[in-house]
Amino acid sequence: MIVCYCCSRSGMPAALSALEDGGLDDVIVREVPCAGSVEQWEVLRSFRQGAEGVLIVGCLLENCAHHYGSEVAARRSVVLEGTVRDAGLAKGRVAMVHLAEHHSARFRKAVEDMRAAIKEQGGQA
Amino acid sequence: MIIAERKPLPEVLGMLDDSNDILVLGCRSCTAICLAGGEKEAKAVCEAIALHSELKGKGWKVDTLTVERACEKEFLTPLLEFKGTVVSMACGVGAQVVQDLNPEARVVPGVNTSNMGAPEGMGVFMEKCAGCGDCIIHLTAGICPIARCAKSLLNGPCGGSQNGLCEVSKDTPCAWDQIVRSLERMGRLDLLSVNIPPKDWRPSRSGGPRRIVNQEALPGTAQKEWRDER
Repeated sequence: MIVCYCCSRSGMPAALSALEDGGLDDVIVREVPCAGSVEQWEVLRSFRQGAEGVLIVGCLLENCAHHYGSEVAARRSVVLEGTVRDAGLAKGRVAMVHLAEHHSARFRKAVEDMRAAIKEQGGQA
Repeated sequence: MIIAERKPLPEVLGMLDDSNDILVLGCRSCTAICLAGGEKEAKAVCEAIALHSELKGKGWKVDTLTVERACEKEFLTPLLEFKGTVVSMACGVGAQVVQDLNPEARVVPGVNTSNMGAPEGMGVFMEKCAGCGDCIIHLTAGICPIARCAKSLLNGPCGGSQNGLCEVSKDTPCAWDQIVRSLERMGRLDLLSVNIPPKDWRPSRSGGPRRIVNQEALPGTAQKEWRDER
């Protein structure tokens, strides 16, 4: 299972469009007002609730609806990746994706990349 | 305020090996402002410890609680009955007050307490006061040479001051350069010729732990009786 925290302005429309095309049954989408509003504890709790990977999906850098939320999210995802590894999971379980609302293919690619990384490490995704 | 930074997670996990009940204690005062040990950070550490416990089958029971100020016993009453391990995200003061109040608990630090300072910008915190106990900033344009000069000079700047920066680091302004420029701006360069006698370091750390008594706040006999403190 991959949990995606999707910005309502960019990530969410892209994710919904990708989900409509099918093949993403292992994806849970959580809409957030801004990728920068996703807290560390929320992501860590997602892993405790069974997520094998977490994607934070926000606006393109320099085109963030909240000016710098996407930048904050990118820095936070790097910190979180380290925390998750320190806690005992393999690397690559947290990733940040920057996209626009019509980039459903980019969303799908990010999910597929994470799915492949998890499978490579012995998980089920 | 007191500036601290989060300890690396592996270091915290290493202190918890013989634990069972774990409480991550956040503080809404100083460590919350410096983004090291407030409610959000305590929740994140709690989740990370719980995740580690589940992945490694440790069976730890992990919870979190954030108090208004961990350095005041009044705010710590919810901890009185707790017997497990407290991961303190408060500063070293808060951690010790928790331990004093609840000797049955085992308190471990979740942050490294660094200094007394202030936010310089988003995410940047600078030391401002060394707590030397003999303040002289009325002579130094409100800039503390003890804390902000790398050598704690009282008659700077030294030869390591280059273009307003300290030789210790390019990110550190020379405190004495700032003092002289500020006094010049204020038109108070005359303060530089005030003879400052050798600093009295007795109120500083050299005398061991310092104890300040406020005579007005000290309870008298009647107040002690009323408060049942005999």
